[in-house]
Amino acid sequence: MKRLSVWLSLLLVLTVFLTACSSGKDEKASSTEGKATITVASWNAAADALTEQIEGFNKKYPDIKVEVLHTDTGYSKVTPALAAGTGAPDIIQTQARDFPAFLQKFPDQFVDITDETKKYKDDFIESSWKSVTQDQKIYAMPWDVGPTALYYRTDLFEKAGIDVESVKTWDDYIEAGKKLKETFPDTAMTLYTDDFNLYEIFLNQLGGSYVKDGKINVNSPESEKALLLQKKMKDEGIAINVHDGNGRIPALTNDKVASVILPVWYAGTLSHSVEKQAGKWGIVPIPAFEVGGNTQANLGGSVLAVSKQSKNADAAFKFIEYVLTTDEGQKIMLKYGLFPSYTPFYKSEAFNSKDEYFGMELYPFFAKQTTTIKDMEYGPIMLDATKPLKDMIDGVLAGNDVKKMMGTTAESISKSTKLKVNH
Amino acid sequence: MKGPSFLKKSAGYLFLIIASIASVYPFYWMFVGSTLSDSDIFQSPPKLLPSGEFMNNITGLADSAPIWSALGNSLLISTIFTIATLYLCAIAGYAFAKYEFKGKNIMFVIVLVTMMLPHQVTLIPLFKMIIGFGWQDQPQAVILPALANAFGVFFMRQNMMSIPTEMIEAARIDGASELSIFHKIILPTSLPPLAALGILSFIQQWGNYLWPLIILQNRESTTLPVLLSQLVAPGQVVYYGQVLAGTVISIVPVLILFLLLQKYFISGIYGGSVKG
Repeated sequence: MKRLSVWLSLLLVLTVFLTACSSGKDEKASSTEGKATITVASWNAAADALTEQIEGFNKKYPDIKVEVLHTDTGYSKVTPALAAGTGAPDIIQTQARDFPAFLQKFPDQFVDITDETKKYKDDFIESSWKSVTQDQKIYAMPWDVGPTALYYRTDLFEKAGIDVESVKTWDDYIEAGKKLKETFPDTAMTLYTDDFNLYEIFLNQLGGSYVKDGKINVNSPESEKALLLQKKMKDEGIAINVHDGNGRIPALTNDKVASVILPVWYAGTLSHSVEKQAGKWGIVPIPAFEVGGNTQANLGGSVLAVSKQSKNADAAFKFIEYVLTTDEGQKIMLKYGLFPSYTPFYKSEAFNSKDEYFGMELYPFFAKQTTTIKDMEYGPIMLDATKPLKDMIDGVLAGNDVKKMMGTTAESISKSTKLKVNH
Repeated sequence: MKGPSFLKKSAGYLFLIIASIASVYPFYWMFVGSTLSDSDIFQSPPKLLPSGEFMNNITGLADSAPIWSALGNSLLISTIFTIATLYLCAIAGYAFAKYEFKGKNIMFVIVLVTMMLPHQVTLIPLFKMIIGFGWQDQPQAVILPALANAFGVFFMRQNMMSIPTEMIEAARIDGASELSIFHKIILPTSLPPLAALGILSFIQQWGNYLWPLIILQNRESTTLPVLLSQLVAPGQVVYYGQVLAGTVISIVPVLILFLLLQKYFISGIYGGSVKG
């Protein structure tokens, strides 16, 4: 067994050696540093987009080195650093709806950029400033928005004799779903997932909010209406549950669903994951709750904030400014499916090109779906409200009393966030 | 008389066959899925025969994410972690099993208590500590915290209790030093539990997600599970073929290790349960 012990000691030596040489590397890096380095924490496609931005940014600012850190959407990577007060990246991406909760949970961790952003006030979709503002001060820059539309299968609609133009309200939509079933018994009109996406779309369309005047507002009349619509869709058998985003794709691939109610970012998934259905999809605004009502809603969207821990806050803001308020920057964002909040870009050539998969000018269509999006107050609750909101929807869909479910949900969010409930 | 026992037997076999198909099918489909193009993956009924897209998926994945460096990091971290854990747990477990010293019981209780501590509780202090060392993005930031963990020490101690003390005493009389007793007698007789602990440690570190996610910020220094999880997220296009190909890469090393050490694994797990 001599061999074994030789192996073991070799490995121990290796471990020690590894530690030694890697810490040595660290010292070297910091001593040769002459210019500012900023780190940006972002996720997935957004992070890929930011990585591609670095080259163009460095042409303008050769002295600022940018590093993109890939994080997860659950923020497990940035929250310890914010809680510990050390080790945070210079720029942090959060979902727009989560940002107020970040401001609340980590006070004094984000740089006030009110003065720097003043000149851009009118360049961004108005509703996108809402979640980055606290006490009239701005703490982050709006990045993308998620204007929502009805994606529908033109071929299936035609065969079932449904004229999409005549679907004006959600009630029409449900009737059309029943008609579809007569021709295609195995195809549902639409789908939903085990989260609160559809609920949030309806809630925003109705002008409802999660929080109003600093109080929890999930028990509002708008909330009730949103919940009842999703329940009706399920009860009438026109909406099927596919559990999560991965479940949507088999349902679409195998013609189980004839339309989806989702934001602009779903166009990319359709054209990639359901490639074979090219030319079979049309897009129209979502139906209204009543004739002539609001047909626009937002779901999703992110913001970029500068951390107070940053030693190069100015350089960090310059990067945000470059990627979000220039045509070069937004052009790359659009390539990754991030629909800009920054409206001057809507005039650019890249924005107005024709999409092959849908056979239409995709982005100008969605730009038109941003004009009456209602302000939505998320309040500082969204990091804690995910599970209660999900439970509320599950409960309502299972047939429990809507008012009772809203009440218990409001109480349970109140318990974890210490916010009062709106009565 | 023959009838019912035959029936019973075939019913048992039928159950086993169904159960094994149910547990093997997801793996099989994963391998098949990694060779399909994205639009074929979700076809119903599912395609059950491999197609030729595997290399496309792999190169696509390698273009968008540093999969090879993640594989290298995972192998490096898991291997060093496993071997160091085995040695440290064995030597600590040996001390607790075969030596009498002051405060032994209290120390053992303290070791066990750390087993009850949920990992999440230590996250922020650990994060501060590792950042203080300047070890962000370094492999040792992942290797070090769970080294010589309580479970391993406990597991080795239970197994080593069954080694006859006479054997150690005989070695002592023959003039072996304490350390060479450990190296030449204890370690070789403990091979089965070492193999079992080795597999467990390797798999644990191979699938370790939360801590590497937090401390390995840089994409080049990240591990496979972290990288793979970043390929799937709401609100973006998911390249399922690439994800499946990445999963195949991540599962093959564990599969090989398990097959190699399987026979030790079973005997090692039960080793401590019967005191010799």
